[in-house]
Amino acid sequence: MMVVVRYMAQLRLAVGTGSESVTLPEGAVLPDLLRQLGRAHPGLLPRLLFDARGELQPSLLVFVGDSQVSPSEPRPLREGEVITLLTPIAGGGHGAVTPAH
Amino acid sequence: MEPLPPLTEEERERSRWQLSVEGFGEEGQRRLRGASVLISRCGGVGSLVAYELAAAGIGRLVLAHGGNLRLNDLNRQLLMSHDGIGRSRVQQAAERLRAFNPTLTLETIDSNITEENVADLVGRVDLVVDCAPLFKERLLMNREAVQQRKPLVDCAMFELEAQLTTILPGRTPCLACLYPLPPVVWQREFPVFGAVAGMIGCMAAMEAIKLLSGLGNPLLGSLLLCDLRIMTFQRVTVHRRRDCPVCQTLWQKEAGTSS
Ligand SMILES: [Zn+2]
Repeated sequence: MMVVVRYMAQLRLAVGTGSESVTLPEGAVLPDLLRQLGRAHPGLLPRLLFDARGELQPSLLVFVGDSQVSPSEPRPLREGEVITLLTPIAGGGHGAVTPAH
Repeated sequence: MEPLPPLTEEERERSRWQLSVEGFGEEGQRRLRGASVLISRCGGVGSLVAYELAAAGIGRLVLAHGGNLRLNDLNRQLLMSHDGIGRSRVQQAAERLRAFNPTLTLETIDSNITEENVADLVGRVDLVVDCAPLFKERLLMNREAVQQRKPLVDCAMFELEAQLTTILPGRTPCLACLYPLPPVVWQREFPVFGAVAGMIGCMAAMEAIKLLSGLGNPLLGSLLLCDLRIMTFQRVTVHRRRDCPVCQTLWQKEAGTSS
Protein backbone atom coordinates (compact mmCIF):
# COMPACT_ATOMS: atom_id res chain seq x y z
CA MET A 1 0.00 0.00 0.00
CA MET A 2 1.25 3.46 -0.89
CA VAL A 3 0.49 6.73 0.89
CA VAL A 4 1.82 10.25 0.36
CA VAL A 5 3.47 12.08 3.29
CA ARG A 6 3.72 15.88 3.23
CA TYR A 7 6.28 17.52 5.51
CA MET A 8 5.73 21.10 6.64
CA ALA A 9 8.07 23.67 8.21
CA GLN A 10 10.94 22.21 10.26
CA LEU A 11 10.00 18.68 9.24
CA ARG A 12 10.55 19.55 5.58
CA LEU A 13 14.00 20.92 6.37
CA ALA A 14 14.83 17.84 8.46
CA VAL A 15 13.81 15.42 5.70
CA GLY A 16 15.02 17.54 2.80
CA THR A 17 11.84 17.21 0.76
CA GLY A 18 8.29 18.55 0.92
CA SER A 19 6.62 15.23 0.21
CA GLU A 20 7.32 11.61 -0.60
CA SER A 21 5.47 8.40 -1.37
CA VAL A 22 5.80 5.72 1.29
CA THR A 23 5.07 2.03 0.96
CA LEU A 24 3.41 0.46 3.99
CA PRO A 25 2.22 -3.04 4.84
CA GLU A 26 -1.55 -3.53 4.49
CA GLY A 27 -3.39 -2.61 7.68
CA ALA A 28 -0.65 -0.22 8.87
CA VAL A 29 -1.85 2.56 11.19
CA LEU A 30 -0.46 6.07 11.77
CA PRO A 31 1.93 5.11 14.60
CA ASP A 32 3.42 2.46 12.27
CA LEU A 33 3.94 5.09 9.58
CA LEU A 34 5.57 7.56 12.00
CA ARG A 35 7.97 4.90 13.32
CA GLN A 36 8.84 3.85 9.77
CA LEU A 37 9.55 7.49 8.83
CA GLY A 38 11.78 7.89 11.87
CA ARG A 39 13.83 4.87 10.77
CA ALA A 40 13.98 6.04 7.14
CA HIS A 41 15.23 9.51 8.09
CA PRO A 42 17.63 9.10 11.01
CA GLY A 43 19.05 12.30 12.49
CA LEU A 44 16.74 15.22 13.07
CA LEU A 45 13.38 13.76 12.10
CA PRO A 46 13.07 11.26 14.96
CA ARG A 47 13.73 14.10 17.44
CA LEU A 48 10.92 16.14 15.92
CA LEU A 49 8.50 13.20 15.98
CA PHE A 50 9.35 11.53 19.31
CA ASP A 51 10.47 12.67 22.73
CA ALA A 52 13.34 11.15 24.73
CA ARG A 53 11.07 8.34 25.98
CA GLY A 54 9.96 7.45 22.47
CA GLU A 55 6.49 8.97 22.92
CA LEU A 56 5.05 11.14 20.13
CA GLN A 57 5.76 14.84 20.54
CA PRO A 58 2.62 16.48 21.95
CA SER A 59 2.75 19.43 19.55
CA LEU A 60 3.02 17.32 16.39
CA LEU A 61 -0.07 17.91 14.23
CA VAL A 62 -1.20 15.20 11.83
CA PHE A 63 -3.79 15.53 9.10
CA VAL A 64 -5.21 12.79 6.90
CA GLY A 65 -6.57 14.60 3.87
CA ASP A 66 -8.07 17.81 5.27
CA SER A 67 -8.90 16.49 8.76
CA GLN A 68 -6.84 16.53 11.92
CA VAL A 69 -6.32 13.11 13.48
CA SER A 70 -4.63 11.99 16.66
CA PRO A 71 -1.08 10.80 15.91
CA SER A 72 -1.93 7.63 17.84
CA GLU A 73 -5.02 7.05 15.66
CA PRO A 74 -5.52 3.28 15.33
CA ARG A 75 -7.52 3.44 12.06
CA PRO A 76 -5.71 1.62 9.23
CA LEU A 77 -4.40 3.95 6.55
CA ARG A 78 -5.74 3.55 3.03
CA GLU A 79 -4.07 3.44 -0.36
CA GLY A 80 -3.44 6.92 -1.75
CA GLU A 81 -4.20 8.87 1.41
CA VAL A 82 -2.24 12.09 1.92
CA ILE A 83 -0.82 12.48 5.43
CA THR A 84 0.39 15.96 6.36
CA LEU A 85 2.82 16.30 9.27
CA LEU A 86 3.22 19.69 10.86
CA THR A 87 5.29 21.12 13.65
CA PRO A 88 4.13 24.48 14.96
CA ILE A 89 5.64 27.62 13.49
CA ALA A 90 5.63 31.10 14.97
CA GLY A 91 5.38 34.63 13.67
CA GLY A 92 7.55 36.80 11.47
CA GLY A 93 8.55 39.46 13.94
CA HIS A 94 12.06 40.69 14.46
CA GLY A 95 15.02 38.32 14.20
CA ALA A 96 13.62 35.48 16.27
CA VAL A 97 16.38 33.59 17.95
CA THR A 98 15.00 30.52 19.62
CA PRO A 99 17.34 28.49 21.76
CA ALA A 100 17.74 24.91 20.65
CA HIS A 101 16.50 22.42 23.23
CA MET B 1 -23.14 47.42 22.71
CA GLU B 2 -22.23 51.01 21.95
CA PRO B 3 -24.07 52.56 19.00
CA LEU B 4 -22.10 52.48 15.75
CA PRO B 5 -20.34 55.76 14.99
CA PRO B 6 -21.57 57.67 11.94
CA LEU B 7 -19.16 58.14 9.03
CA THR B 8 -17.92 61.62 8.16
CA GLU B 9 -17.97 62.65 4.50
CA GLU B 10 -14.20 62.21 4.42
CA GLU B 11 -14.41 58.70 5.87
CA ARG B 12 -17.10 57.77 3.39
CA GLU B 13 -14.95 59.00 0.49
CA ARG B 14 -11.81 57.29 1.86
CA SER B 15 -13.60 53.94 2.02
CA ARG B 16 -15.63 54.46 -1.16
CA TRP B 17 -14.14 51.52 -3.08
CA GLN B 18 -15.01 49.03 -0.37
CA LEU B 19 -18.49 50.31 0.55
CA SER B 20 -19.90 48.49 -2.47
CA VAL B 21 -18.55 45.11 -1.29
CA GLU B 22 -21.52 42.79 -0.95
CA GLY B 23 -22.33 42.02 2.67
CA PHE B 24 -20.18 44.92 3.92
CA GLY B 25 -21.55 48.35 2.94
CA GLU B 26 -21.91 51.40 5.13
CA GLU B 27 -22.87 49.36 8.18
CA GLY B 28 -19.74 47.21 7.85
CA GLN B 29 -17.65 50.35 7.56
CA ARG B 30 -19.24 51.84 10.67
CA ARG B 31 -18.54 48.63 12.56
CA LEU B 32 -14.86 48.87 11.61
CA ARG B 33 -14.82 52.54 12.56
CA GLY B 34 -16.14 51.63 16.00
CA ALA B 35 -13.73 48.73 16.52
CA SER B 36 -10.30 48.33 18.10
CA VAL B 37 -7.54 45.77 17.49
CA LEU B 38 -4.40 44.85 19.40
CA ILE B 39 -1.48 43.76 17.20
CA SER B 40 1.22 41.88 19.04
CA ARG B 41 4.45 42.80 17.22
CA CYS B 42 4.42 44.90 14.09
CA GLY B 43 7.35 43.21 12.40
CA GLY B 44 7.18 41.32 9.12
CA VAL B 45 3.64 40.03 9.65
CA GLY B 46 2.19 42.63 12.00
CA SER B 47 3.33 45.58 9.84
CA LEU B 48 0.98 44.41 7.13
CA VAL B 49 -1.84 43.64 9.53
CA ALA B 50 -1.62 47.20 10.83
CA TYR B 51 -1.25 48.72 7.36
CA GLU B 52 -4.30 46.91 5.98
CA LEU B 53 -6.45 47.64 9.01
CA ALA B 54 -5.48 51.31 8.80
CA ALA B 55 -6.38 51.26 5.10
CA ALA B 56 -9.69 49.56 5.85
CA GLY B 57 -10.66 52.31 8.29
CA ILE B 58 -10.39 50.59 11.66
CA GLY B 59 -11.13 53.00 14.50
CA ARG B 60 -8.28 52.25 16.89
CA LEU B 61 -5.10 50.18 16.83
CA VAL B 62 -3.00 49.19 19.81
CA LEU B 63 0.53 48.24 18.70
CA ALA B 64 2.89 46.37 21.01
CA HIS B 65 6.45 45.86 19.85
CA GLY B 66 9.71 46.31 21.71
CA GLY B 67 13.15 47.31 20.54
CA ASN B 68 14.88 49.45 17.97
CA LEU B 69 15.11 48.86 14.24
CA ARG B 70 18.04 46.87 12.85
CA LEU B 71 19.24 46.73 9.27
CA ASN B 72 18.32 43.05 9.02
CA ASP B 73 14.66 43.83 9.85
CA LEU B 74 14.28 45.64 6.55
CA ASN B 75 13.67 42.61 4.34
CA ARG B 76 10.16 42.47 5.80
CA GLN B 77 9.16 45.26 8.22
CA LEU B 78 7.37 47.53 5.77
CA LEU B 79 6.28 50.24 8.22
CA MET B 80 9.92 51.11 8.97
CA SER B 81 12.43 53.12 6.99
CA HIS B 82 16.14 52.88 6.36
CA ASP B 83 16.73 56.22 8.08
CA GLY B 84 15.11 54.78 11.20
CA ILE B 85 17.80 52.19 11.97
CA GLY B 86 18.52 52.38 15.68
CA ARG B 87 15.17 54.07 16.47
CA SER B 88 12.09 52.57 18.13
CA ARG B 89 10.24 50.19 15.83
CA VAL B 90 6.81 50.87 17.26
CA GLN B 91 7.22 54.64 17.03
CA GLN B 92 8.20 54.37 13.37
CA ALA B 93 5.23 52.12 12.69
CA ALA B 94 2.95 54.69 14.31
CA GLU B 95 4.45 57.57 12.30
CA ARG B 96 3.90 55.75 9.03
CA LEU B 97 0.34 54.79 9.93
CA ARG B 98 -0.54 58.35 11.03
CA ALA B 99 0.78 59.75 7.78
CA PHE B 100 -1.20 57.13 5.88
CA ASN B 101 -4.50 57.59 7.70
CA PRO B 102 -4.74 60.50 10.14
CA THR B 103 -8.27 59.49 11.22
CA LEU B 104 -6.87 56.37 12.89
CA THR B 105 -6.47 56.40 16.69
CA LEU B 106 -3.18 54.79 17.71
CA GLU B 107 -1.82 53.53 21.01
CA THR B 108 1.77 52.33 21.08
CA ILE B 109 3.54 50.18 23.63
CA ASP B 110 7.30 50.06 23.30
CA SER B 111 7.41 46.51 24.62
CA ASN B 112 6.44 43.02 23.58
CA ILE B 113 3.68 41.12 25.35
CA THR B 114 4.58 40.10 28.90
CA GLU B 115 2.86 38.52 31.89
CA GLU B 116 2.65 42.05 33.34
CA ASN B 117 1.04 43.89 30.42
CA VAL B 118 -1.02 41.26 28.62
CA ALA B 119 -4.27 41.54 30.61
CA ASP B 120 -4.33 45.34 30.28
CA LEU B 121 -3.58 45.27 26.54
CA VAL B 122 -6.14 42.60 25.67
CA GLY B 123 -8.68 44.44 27.84
CA ARG B 124 -8.35 47.59 25.70
CA VAL B 125 -9.57 46.05 22.43
CA ASP B 126 -12.32 44.10 20.67
CA LEU B 127 -9.99 41.68 18.88
CA VAL B 128 -6.35 40.56 18.93
CA VAL B 129 -4.06 39.67 16.03
CA ASP B 130 -0.99 37.81 17.25
CA CYS B 131 2.12 37.96 15.08
CA ALA B 132 4.70 37.21 17.77
CA PRO B 133 7.63 35.03 16.75
CA LEU B 134 8.03 33.29 20.11
CA PHE B 135 5.75 30.52 21.33
CA LYS B 136 5.96 31.78 24.87
CA GLU B 137 4.36 35.05 23.79
CA ARG B 138 1.75 33.39 21.60
CA LEU B 139 0.67 30.92 24.27
CA LEU B 140 0.50 33.76 26.80
CA MET B 141 -1.67 35.82 24.43
CA ASN B 142 -3.88 32.80 23.82
CA ARG B 143 -4.36 32.27 27.54
CA GLU B 144 -5.38 35.89 28.05
CA ALA B 145 -7.67 36.05 24.99
CA VAL B 146 -9.45 32.91 26.23
CA GLN B 147 -9.66 34.37 29.72
CA GLN B 148 -11.25 37.58 28.43
CA ARG B 149 -13.15 35.78 25.67
CA LYS B 150 -11.71 37.99 22.96
CA PRO B 151 -11.42 36.79 19.35
CA LEU B 152 -7.82 35.99 18.43
CA VAL B 153 -6.42 35.78 14.92
CA ASP B 154 -3.18 33.83 15.11
CA CYS B 155 -0.73 33.97 12.23
CA ALA B 156 2.65 32.38 11.82
CA MET B 157 5.26 31.84 9.19
CA PHE B 158 8.38 29.84 8.54
CA GLU B 159 10.52 30.21 5.43
CA LEU B 160 8.07 30.00 2.49
CA GLU B 161 5.25 28.58 4.61
CA ALA B 162 2.57 30.33 6.60
CA GLN B 163 -0.37 29.37 8.82
CA LEU B 164 -3.48 31.17 9.93
CA THR B 165 -6.36 30.37 12.25
CA THR B 166 -9.08 32.33 14.01
CA ILE B 167 -9.95 31.51 17.60
CA LEU B 168 -13.27 32.31 19.24
CA PRO B 169 -12.88 31.22 22.86
CA GLY B 170 -15.47 28.61 23.78
CA ARG B 171 -16.49 28.10 20.15
CA THR B 172 -13.30 26.93 18.45
CA PRO B 173 -10.14 25.14 19.58
CA CYS B 174 -7.64 27.54 21.16
CA LEU B 175 -3.92 27.74 20.37
CA ALA B 176 -3.08 25.48 23.32
CA CYS B 177 -5.48 22.86 21.92
CA LEU B 178 -3.27 22.80 18.82
CA TYR B 179 0.08 23.24 20.55
CA PRO B 180 0.00 22.32 24.24
CA LEU B 181 3.78 22.76 24.43
CA PRO B 182 6.25 24.79 22.42
CA PRO B 183 7.78 22.70 19.65
CA VAL B 184 11.18 21.10 19.72
CA VAL B 185 13.41 23.63 18.03
CA TRP B 186 16.74 22.75 16.54
CA GLN B 187 17.43 25.91 14.61
CA ARG B 188 18.83 29.01 16.23
CA GLU B 189 17.08 31.32 13.75
CA PHE B 190 14.20 30.81 11.46
CA PRO B 191 14.19 31.98 7.88
CA VAL B 192 11.76 34.75 6.94
CA PHE B 193 10.86 35.97 3.49
CA GLY B 194 9.19 39.39 3.50
CA ALA B 195 6.60 38.61 0.86
CA VAL B 196 5.47 35.51 2.78
CA ALA B 197 5.17 37.47 6.02
CA GLY B 198 3.26 40.20 4.19
CA MET B 199 0.88 37.75 2.56
CA ILE B 200 -0.13 36.10 5.82
CA GLY B 201 -0.38 39.53 7.48
CA CYS B 202 -2.85 40.67 4.79
CA MET B 203 -4.87 37.48 5.26
CA ALA B 204 -4.93 38.02 9.03
CA ALA B 205 -6.15 41.58 8.49
CA MET B 206 -8.93 40.21 6.31
CA GLU B 207 -9.92 37.78 9.06
CA ALA B 208 -10.09 40.68 11.54
CA ILE B 209 -12.15 42.78 9.10
CA LYS B 210 -14.56 39.87 8.56
CA LEU B 211 -15.03 39.16 12.26
CA LEU B 212 -15.52 42.82 13.17
CA SER B 213 -17.88 43.67 10.32
CA GLY B 214 -19.76 40.38 10.05
CA LEU B 215 -18.54 39.68 6.52
CA GLY B 216 -18.01 36.21 5.03
CA ASN B 217 -16.79 33.10 6.87
CA PRO B 218 -13.74 33.34 9.12
CA LEU B 219 -11.34 30.43 9.63
CA LEU B 220 -13.15 29.07 12.68
CA GLY B 221 -11.99 25.60 13.72
CA SER B 222 -9.76 25.57 10.66
CA LEU B 223 -6.12 26.10 10.00
CA LEU B 224 -5.00 27.49 6.66
CA LEU B 225 -1.68 25.98 5.56
CA CYS B 226 0.09 27.96 2.83
CA ASP B 227 3.17 26.66 1.08
CA LEU B 228 4.41 29.33 -1.30
CA ARG B 229 7.32 27.16 -2.46
CA ILE B 230 4.82 25.08 -4.44
CA MET B 231 1.85 27.50 -4.21
CA THR B 232 -0.54 25.24 -2.33
CA PHE B 233 -3.21 26.50 0.07
CA GLN B 234 -4.92 23.86 2.18
CA ARG B 235 -7.66 24.46 4.75
CA VAL B 236 -7.66 21.71 7.38
CA THR B 237 -10.04 21.19 10.28
CA VAL B 238 -8.62 21.21 13.79
CA HIS B 239 -10.05 19.83 17.01
CA ARG B 240 -10.09 20.97 20.59
CA ARG B 241 -8.34 18.96 23.28
CA ARG B 242 -10.78 17.83 25.93
CA ASP B 243 -7.97 18.16 28.48
CA CYS B 244 -6.78 21.58 27.21
CA PRO B 245 -5.41 23.38 30.28
CA VAL B 246 -6.41 26.77 28.83
CA CYS B 247 -9.93 26.43 27.45
CA GLN B 248 -11.51 23.28 28.87
CA THR B 249 -13.35 25.16 31.63
CA LEU B 250 -14.94 27.42 28.99
CA TRP B 251 -16.30 24.40 27.19
CA GLN B 252 -17.70 23.01 30.41
CA LYS B 253 -19.41 26.36 31.07
CA GLU B 254 -20.82 26.49 27.53
CA ALA B 255 -22.08 22.93 27.82
CA GLY B 256 -23.64 23.80 31.17
CA THR B 257 -25.48 26.87 29.89
CA SER B 258 -26.75 25.29 26.69
CA SER B 259 -28.25 22.20 28.32
ZN1 LIG C 1 -7.78 24.96 24.22
